[in-house]
Amino acid sequence: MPRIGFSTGALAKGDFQAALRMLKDKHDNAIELSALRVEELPALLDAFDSLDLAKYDYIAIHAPTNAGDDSLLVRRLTPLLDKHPNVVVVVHPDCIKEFEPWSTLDGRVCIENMDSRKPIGQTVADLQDIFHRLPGARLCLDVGHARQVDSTMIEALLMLHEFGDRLAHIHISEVDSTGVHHGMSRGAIADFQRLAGSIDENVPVIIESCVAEGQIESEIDKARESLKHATESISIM
Amino acid sequence: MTASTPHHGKTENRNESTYFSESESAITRLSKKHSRTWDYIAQAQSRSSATLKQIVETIGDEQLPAGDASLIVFGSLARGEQTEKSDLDWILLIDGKVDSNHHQITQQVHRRLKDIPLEQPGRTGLFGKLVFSHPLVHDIGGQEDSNHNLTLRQLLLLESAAIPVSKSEDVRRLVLRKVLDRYVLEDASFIDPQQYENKIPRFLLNDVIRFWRTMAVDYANKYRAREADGWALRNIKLRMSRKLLFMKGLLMCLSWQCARDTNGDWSRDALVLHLERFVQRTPLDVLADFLERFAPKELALQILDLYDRFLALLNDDDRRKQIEALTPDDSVKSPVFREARQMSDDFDKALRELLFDANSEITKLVQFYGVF
Repeated sequence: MPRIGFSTGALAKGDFQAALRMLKDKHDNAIELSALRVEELPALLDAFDSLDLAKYDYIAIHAPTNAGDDSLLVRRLTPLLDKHPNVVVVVHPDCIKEFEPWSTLDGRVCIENMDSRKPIGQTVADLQDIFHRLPGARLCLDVGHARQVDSTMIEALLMLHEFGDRLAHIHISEVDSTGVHHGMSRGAIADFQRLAGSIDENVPVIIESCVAEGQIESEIDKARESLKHATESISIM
Repeated sequence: MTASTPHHGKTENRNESTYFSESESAITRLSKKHSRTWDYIAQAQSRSSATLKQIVETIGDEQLPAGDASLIVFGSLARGEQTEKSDLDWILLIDGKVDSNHHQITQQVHRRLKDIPLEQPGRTGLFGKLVFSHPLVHDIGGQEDSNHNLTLRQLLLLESAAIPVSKSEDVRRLVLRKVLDRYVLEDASFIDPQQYENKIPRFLLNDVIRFWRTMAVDYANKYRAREADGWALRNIKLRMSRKLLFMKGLLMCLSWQCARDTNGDWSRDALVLHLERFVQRTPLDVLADFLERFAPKELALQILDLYDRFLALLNDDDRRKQIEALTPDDSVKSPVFREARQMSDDFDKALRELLFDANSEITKLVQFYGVF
């Protein structure tokens, strides 16, 4: 069964416990625990072992985007990653100042492609440069970001072609021109379906749509629909 | 929790078009192969590269809107054919949310670019301003597709280059990808999604042809509007550099059938990427590549010799001024104009030979798609 779940930050910004409560009875089996601000990280690291994560087949952590000190951040993450060898950490490439500390984590680091607001990380060329510096790192393909940058989805397809063997998981949502994540529209679902044939069904999917608790299950259904291979649309002419 | 296993995307065998060799340009290859040099073409390319670098330094720390803006140049500079008298035609292309600061940023760019010692944007009103991507993508054909919109869209496809500052190159590339995707997605030739093979992008070709005819009609209009002022030079340019633009567009479309190295990937995405590679090349490079593939040696060398002579003419201040000053009545008596006119007649004849005599596969495609 495909692994699909939510980013806690999408459901309850800065409060992973609240997000986990929202997800308690839902039909998700993957999770990304967000600590987007470095101030949020200690609480997550301290609580991790006591969290009820039994239903999750796939667990990721989103690293802070304002840590500043890569060495210190990696040192803080390492004990948890050592203790839980299946957990991966998602990192924004524009936040990395020093690559060497992250290289010690090898395939536990997932580099996420960025939206148009960021200085780097939107294109295959940008990611090639990052993976050159972190050869062991994997890819978190954010299809919402990719669509915001290139709505033809060709850049996303090129990323899959170039880095498919590094793919760890997918982020999915609809991202507007200011970088805000929304629930998926029909248009977004149709665009994401263009990628479905290029993504193995075993790749976990993390939903980043900022939705209310009542919309969680429907958003999970939309994510499943998005990654079902659709028949290519016929020209209207 | 279960152990996670290594995950993989399906790494598709994306059989991308290998149409263009990345290592060196076709002109360089032809030059080496036939021990021929085209000095004015080479000079123009060097001059263009130097000017682009100068623009990068001049714009410098100019902060374009993050990820949304592209500073794009056109004309001879973008074609790699800059001469001493070239213009600096540019736009600031915005592909994002509207922002009242865009106007101010454009004014700042204007002020900075005045430091570049080139002629200011021409009189048509197309350049030196803010342009938004939406009409370029959405208004293809129909009432909203004005002469202005058509011209800008086709010039972006056929003779533009982004200044490598901020994210200009990526923004230009991705806007043009959306334009190409629109042409391909809504092309009636591809009504069966399995049938991108054995067809060419006809919607795009029709727009390229429409643009070529529009340039020719506008040339006639300028003759009237400007009382034949500058007519003779415009005439030669129409017959040489403007025609070369049309050739790039035509060859771009035909190449999907006649010159594509395929491993069976005839998908819509593969076609868009194939066309994108042409958009990233100068018209002369596209033509030279085609000559290398399909033209007999003598014809290939003749066409490039003629274009080299054209650039020599544009770069010769004395001859250029003579031609610029001619009226239609004077032109028939002017040896300089007659020589230029003969050069453009020979260029026309050589291109027709390329399209109708050099290769039977090309000829069939041109005959089939070139009329209706």
